Amino acid sequence: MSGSHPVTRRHALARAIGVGGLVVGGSAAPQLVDPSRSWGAAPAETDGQLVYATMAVELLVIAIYERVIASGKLSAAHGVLADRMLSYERVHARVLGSELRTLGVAEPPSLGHASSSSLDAILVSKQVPESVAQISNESEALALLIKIEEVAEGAYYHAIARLTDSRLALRSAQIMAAEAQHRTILSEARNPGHIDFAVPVAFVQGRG
Amino acid sequence: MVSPPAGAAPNTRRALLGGAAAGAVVLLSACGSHAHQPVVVSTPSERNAADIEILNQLLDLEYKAIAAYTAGTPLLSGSAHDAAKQFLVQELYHASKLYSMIMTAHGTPIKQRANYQLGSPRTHEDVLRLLQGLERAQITAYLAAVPAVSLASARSVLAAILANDAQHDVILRAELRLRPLTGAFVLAGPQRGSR
Repeated sequence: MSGSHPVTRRHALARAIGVGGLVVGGSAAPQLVDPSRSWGAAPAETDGQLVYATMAVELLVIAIYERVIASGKLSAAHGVLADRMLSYERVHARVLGSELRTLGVAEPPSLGHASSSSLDAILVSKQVPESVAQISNESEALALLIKIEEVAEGAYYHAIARLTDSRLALRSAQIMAAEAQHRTILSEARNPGHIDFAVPVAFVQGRG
Repeated sequence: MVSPPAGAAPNTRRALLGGAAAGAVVLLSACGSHAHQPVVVSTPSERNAADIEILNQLLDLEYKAIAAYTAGTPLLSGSAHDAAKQFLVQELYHASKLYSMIMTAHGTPIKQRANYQLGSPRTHEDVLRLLQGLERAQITAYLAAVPAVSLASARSVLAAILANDAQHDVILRAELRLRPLTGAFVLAGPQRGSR
């Protein structure tokens, strides 16, 4: 059997991806109106609070992707990859928004117009030292995306252990697994062939 | 049919399974920030029995994946070989964790079978397809298990394993030159997708 392939995993990934003001409205997010609290470490226990927290992280992920893409530091192929992942993150946010409406909880505010310094402050609170304002090359851009995906993994891991609605737990697990896949693909893009970077641990728990 | 070659098992495999057989809870306590929470209730109950059955079904799939990786990894080369070697170790960790959870729940972990029906993979691509299919089977099973287990803290452990298997899937898909990402959610089913 031939063990060698003319197309490496790196090439396969590159080819495959080618296809490819914080005010909360509504009635039921009383303790989440204050942005410093919405991003803080206070434990969220109800299903509504947990979904709110994961959606807030999704909105952060979306904002970071948008800034990284806008930085122009990604190659064309990796730009396509980031665009695709961003579109999936937006799907996640839409689905979570729908769940929040069902629960009678207002959605967290978009971070689309947040300043770079505000985003950096949130990143620091999530143990991400990288800055959206200081992306100087593609490696740094990919590193930031990898870490923000880990933040998302961590948010879902936290929520899944606490959600009382098993349907919401399943939806969270489906998204968490997708975020883990994003992290792996981004790691392969940054460090091709380094499987120990791409899939480093047997139990995905994220960060933050 | 492929039986896992006895000599092919890495030391880590023997150590992990040996530890699991002894009811080791080292990995249980090492798994994340929620290790202080009880993973399963200690009082036998119907719910507990149902959880044990679910965990044993997952363990059976892990054993099968371990057998496939053990038998198939030597047939791979290059980046696929490196990935399979890494994934085998991670599957062993999954099995050990499930074993510990079942023991903690006062259940009886199922034993590895003497052999597993794995087909007759002959080529590099055959082996990759086999492994990717088994990863998909595991993903499907974990997606069914996450909402079904009674204890929320056990759910998070299963989700952590599910996410890791989803990472395996994406790498194997890339090795097969399939589209790595198939949608916004990781869903049950074969999800082979297009090239």
